[in-house]
Amino acid sequence: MKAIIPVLFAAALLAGCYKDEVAEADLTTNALDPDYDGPPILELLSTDTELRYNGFVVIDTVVVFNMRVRTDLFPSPISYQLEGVQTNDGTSDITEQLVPATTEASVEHRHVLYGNEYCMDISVVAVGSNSRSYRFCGTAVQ
Amino acid sequence: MKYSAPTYPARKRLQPVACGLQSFAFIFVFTHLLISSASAQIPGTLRLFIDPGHEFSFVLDDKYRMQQREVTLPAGQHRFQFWAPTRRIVDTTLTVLPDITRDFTLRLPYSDEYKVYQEQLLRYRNNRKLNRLLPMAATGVSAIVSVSMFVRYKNAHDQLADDVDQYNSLTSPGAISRLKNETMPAHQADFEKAERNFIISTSITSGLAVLTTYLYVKSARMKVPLFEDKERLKFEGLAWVPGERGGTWAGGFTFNLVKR
Repeated sequence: MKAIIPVLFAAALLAGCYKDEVAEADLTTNALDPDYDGPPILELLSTDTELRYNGFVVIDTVVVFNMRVRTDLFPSPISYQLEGVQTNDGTSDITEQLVPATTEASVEHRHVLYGNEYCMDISVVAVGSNSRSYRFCGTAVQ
Repeated sequence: MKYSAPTYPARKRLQPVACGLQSFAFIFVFTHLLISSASAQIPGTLRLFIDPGHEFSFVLDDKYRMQQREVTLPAGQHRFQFWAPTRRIVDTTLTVLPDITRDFTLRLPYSDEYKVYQEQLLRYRNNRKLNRLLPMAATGVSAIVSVSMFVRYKNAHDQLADDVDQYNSLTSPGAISRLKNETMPAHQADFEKAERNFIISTSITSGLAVLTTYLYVKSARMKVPLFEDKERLKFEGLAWVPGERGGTWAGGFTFNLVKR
């Protein structure tokens, strides 16, 4: 009987150690978490305005967003894609599957007019789902 | 007036037959007394098979207190008062036959006081068991439940820790969302439930431990029934036996000299 009481006290003390609960809202450190709030994993290197041809016929003008991907912030090296969603109409552009070593990639905003600014929400796609998106804007210049 | 002298019948002589009977009776009685007297001098032996055999005593002929299994006595009737601790006195008369060894078997019945004492002792033991074993068993069971609850509590906590590790290593944003929005809240609920159960079980165990201690101490203070062998007092009063220092009788008077 005397041995039980110290065990219970020890258990109570251990119970005290376990009181810290895990708050899901505080978990924002994984770079691929849609709620990630660490250093940005996408950086805009530059924007280019380019023409798209079908043969010799110009069919579209686009703004290309050249991005740097901070794969060093990923939990582990993974193949991924980059997806950009046009903020004006919701259409998206997604890259091919990129090998883990790839750190630069581009997405393009279609149907632009010179002189106007266009924005895209760009995110990393891994295993079929999107990470947090970052909004980048660029102006179509002739 | 003259009266004639009374006449009495002539005295008869004793009949020879009557005379023979008287003599025979006299001879018979005399012979019987002679034989009885002679046979009383020839000792006989009694072997006593008394239960309990190891500690019985007896008073012989209201005079001698003895403690042996075989007695050799002059032939004739002798009074025996047998007794043993916790037993009732059995008073009986045994006939010793000359030059013969006889066996006497007797089981001394338990005294009424001893039966009452046994009942009280049984009640005391049962109460003590009830006050000690039952709470102790309940505390033990509760402690086992508490340990089980603690293991569940620890496992639930470990599961949450695993979830955090998994969060840090997952490379699928969708899987991360599912982990954060579905899996972890469920595990968190399990953890809280396990924590609640553990606290409840520990509280119950602590309460029972306090109750057990209280009842244990209380049972230790319970008065143990004592056996007063009244038959022993009766038996010891049957015959006076000198003690180690010979035994004395003492009396005294007290005068209250305080002036009122």
